[in-house]
Amino acid sequence: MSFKELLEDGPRVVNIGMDRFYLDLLDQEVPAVKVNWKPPLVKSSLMEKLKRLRGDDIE
Amino acid sequence: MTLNNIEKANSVAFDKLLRAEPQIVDLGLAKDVIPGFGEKMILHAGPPLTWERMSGPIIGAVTGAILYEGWADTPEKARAFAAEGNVSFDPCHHHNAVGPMAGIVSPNLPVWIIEEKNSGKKSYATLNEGLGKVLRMGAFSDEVIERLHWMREVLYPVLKNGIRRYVADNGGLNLKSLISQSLHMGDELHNRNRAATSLLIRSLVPSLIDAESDNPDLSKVVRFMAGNDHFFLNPGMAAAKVSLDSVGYVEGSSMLTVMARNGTDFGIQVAGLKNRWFTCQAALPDVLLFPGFTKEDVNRDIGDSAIMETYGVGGFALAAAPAIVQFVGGTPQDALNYTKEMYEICVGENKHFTIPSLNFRGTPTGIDLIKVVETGITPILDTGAAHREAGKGQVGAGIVRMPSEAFVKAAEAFVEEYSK
Repeated sequence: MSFKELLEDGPRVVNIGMDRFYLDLLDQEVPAVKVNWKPPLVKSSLMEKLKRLRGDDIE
Repeated sequence: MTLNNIEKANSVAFDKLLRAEPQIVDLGLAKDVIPGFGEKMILHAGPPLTWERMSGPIIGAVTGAILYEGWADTPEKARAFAAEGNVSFDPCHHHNAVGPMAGIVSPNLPVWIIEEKNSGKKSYATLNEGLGKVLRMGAFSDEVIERLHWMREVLYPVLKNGIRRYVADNGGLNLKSLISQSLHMGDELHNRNRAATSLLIRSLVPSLIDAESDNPDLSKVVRFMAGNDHFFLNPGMAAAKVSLDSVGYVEGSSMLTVMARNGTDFGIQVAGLKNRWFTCQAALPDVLLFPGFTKEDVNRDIGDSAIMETYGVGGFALAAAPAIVQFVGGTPQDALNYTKEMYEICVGENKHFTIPSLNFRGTPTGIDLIKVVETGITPILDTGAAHREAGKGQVGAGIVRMPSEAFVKAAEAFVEEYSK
């Protein structure tokens, strides 16, 4: 999306994380989609070890 | 250990869980039938707990159990009896047993005996007392102790004879089938057991009449069962327990076999980490409160009843129970959302337990430790909440999310175990 399109057509928003921003946009009738995502509970080093045990491809 | 092995191990654990066939086979007194039940022993809910760390509802229920057993004749003496180290405390889970809320089991309490048909393994749970002032909520007043004596002296022998007649005529009473039917009748089997209780009574009454038709107490026994919507909860929990026990140790599996709370700590066990507990502080339930109570009255989360969610029902099947959602503070859409969220952290979908409102999709079953820590989604429970002070009873009910720290500890242990 170009800056011109953003100004003319308005933003298309995908919200990840806290709900408040997403809800505020809805209140202002701005279309938005919420992705229900949370960070892992464990440090990235431990998550990587778990993924290796599971056989995930680790970049 | 690679993807194939962990996936295969979880598949083995999941299949063992789904193959389990729990059935009611008998009743007995705890001291006579529960393995390793010692003299002056009291079992409690959740992970191991010393008297010094017990919360109000457990202290209240222990006080009531000591009065019921006749080890002391006043509440003050009962507390002193426990504080002086005269009672041996152990978790229900260490004795193939489970108990709702405080989960107290003392030697002379009658218990359900549930057997897993394929393995012959057994599990145990007390008879449900009803709502209000009851031992499992930490109450120990005279009416509580009198009811427990009535249950031992009247309910227990009549029900035992009825069950023995049922088993002689039909074999064990199939609880998996009963749970499956109840999910289609509006129960989620943790906070709503109305359909399951009705089906249990429908199954047992003909045998009760055959066995006890001349007994003037029969009508009182049937009225007691019919007057308690949660009468099924305890054998239902024992059905879940023996099914998860039949999974046992599965090398490489990250599937949970136990979730339990004791009012102080929350603990889990994982199929691939033998019988180790991973614990943290129990959640403080933010639930819908009964009139007259405030948030300050609520005790930390308590009870072995989390075994229902570990089994794939309870909060995980909330979408099946629209009638309960207002009681626990939500809407039918919330119930659907909770169930859908739990699919994210489970090994699979249950082919025996299905949800009509989700086009008969199977309930999310077999909590996967790795998925929990990866997604940041911890299990939700649909549970009751007890007053933090001994003797006050229930203060509310609602949805409680399990704390993450126990899962983090288990994930660290899993990596340590399988990185060798």
